[in-house]
Amino acid sequence: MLHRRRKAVQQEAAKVSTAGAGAVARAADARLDCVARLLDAFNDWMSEWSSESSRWIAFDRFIRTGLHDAVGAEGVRCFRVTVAGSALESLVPARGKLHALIPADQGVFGTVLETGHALVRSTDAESINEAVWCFPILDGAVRRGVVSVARMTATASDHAPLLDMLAGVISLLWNRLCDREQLAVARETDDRTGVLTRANFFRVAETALSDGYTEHEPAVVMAVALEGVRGLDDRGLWEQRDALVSSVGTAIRARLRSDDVVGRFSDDRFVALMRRMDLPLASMIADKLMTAIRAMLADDATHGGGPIARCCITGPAWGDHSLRELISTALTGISRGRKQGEDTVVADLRDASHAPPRATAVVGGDGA
Amino acid sequence: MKVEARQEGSITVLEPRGAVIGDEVSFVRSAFEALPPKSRLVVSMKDVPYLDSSALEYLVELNETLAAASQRLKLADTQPVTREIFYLTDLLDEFEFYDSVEDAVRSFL
Repeated sequence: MLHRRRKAVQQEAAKVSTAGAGAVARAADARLDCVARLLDAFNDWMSEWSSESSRWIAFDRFIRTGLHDAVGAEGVRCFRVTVAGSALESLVPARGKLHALIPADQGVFGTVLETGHALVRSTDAESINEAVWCFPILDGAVRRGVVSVARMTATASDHAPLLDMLAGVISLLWNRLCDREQLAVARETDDRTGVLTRANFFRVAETALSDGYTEHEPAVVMAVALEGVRGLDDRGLWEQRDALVSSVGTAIRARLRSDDVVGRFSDDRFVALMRRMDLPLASMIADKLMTAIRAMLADDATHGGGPIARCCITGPAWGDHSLRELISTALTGISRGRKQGEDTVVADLRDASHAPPRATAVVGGDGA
Repeated sequence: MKVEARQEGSITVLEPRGAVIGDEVSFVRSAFEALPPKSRLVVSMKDVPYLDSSALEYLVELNETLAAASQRLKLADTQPVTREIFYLTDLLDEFEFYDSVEDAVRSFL
């Protein structure tokens, strides 16, 4: 798409160039050159940053540089709409601080996002919190973000067409980055639950566990199993089964920390690696999670009398257990819980009698 | 780990440095117990990468102690993932969270 856009820009530039040597044509030429340079720079930038986790921070810098080169923009700030849609957060997180969120429906940003039109002022902003130029980032009807500029050397009245083009190109690039990110997530996650597929879980969790061991951090593994989903299959309730698995996956993701690694281990089993975690704290979190899942199962009449959830947490691991051993212990704990009628089992690895042998895991349970 | 104490006017700022886990909770406890009674307190969490259940328990205990003096524990600069722990254990509303020590100190005014 970018190539087509750049080609169109170049073709238009060629047409304009041949139309005459007047000032209007030269100005249009300059604008199109400016946009073409930005597109070229983006392609170079993508090849450099495509695999970096900090790509949005780098993209923020790319926009600042691009707008500075094109119109002498300073005081450029870029915000994206949060997942909930009600707030804006800076592309560059505050160092060591929590994100400061800005309401997405108030002030200049709110107006720009609501109307879908850029705001351009003829004088410089008096403070960084004001904007001489502010434009929305939209993807069709979807609001993605907003960019504001406090000062620029280009005058708004003389350069309105250039500002429009730059805003359009940055929206295009922004959306391309979003699409690329969504594709990357889709490749690695289970499309029904949004958590990692088993293969990707192992890849990510092995690295995370290894990093944690290097830093002398304790780790805990949690397994959650849905029992009775096959009964839904047998009754022909496939859609309900899928919806249930999806809901539980979403609940697990929402009830764990954002840096916990969560995977769908099999059709009805989920596994999570929780770094920097001790067993009592993991138990508290597991209790809250299981309460949420139980409520979900109870609320949904279509699952009535059907599936139940069971959970086992095991740890703390300080470097002496592999990921596979920890998962094996947690899954064995779930089997143990089923036999004993417990829905939450704690397998404390510090108890020698509960330490997992390499082949089969022995699980203790002080219950929860 | 270590815990430093400094004054911001009449407010005491405790700054634990490092993960607060296991026996190391005693460092925070000792630092608090060394303060004059009824000190107005802010705990800077900026350099606390994570905490465990015993740290969480102590913070709850400390909060209850402060409640006797009609205070609530003010936690500043808490790292996002650490703050999630308070949310996941339903303790988020028990404490006061501030983006910076300055904001926390200002809240006493």
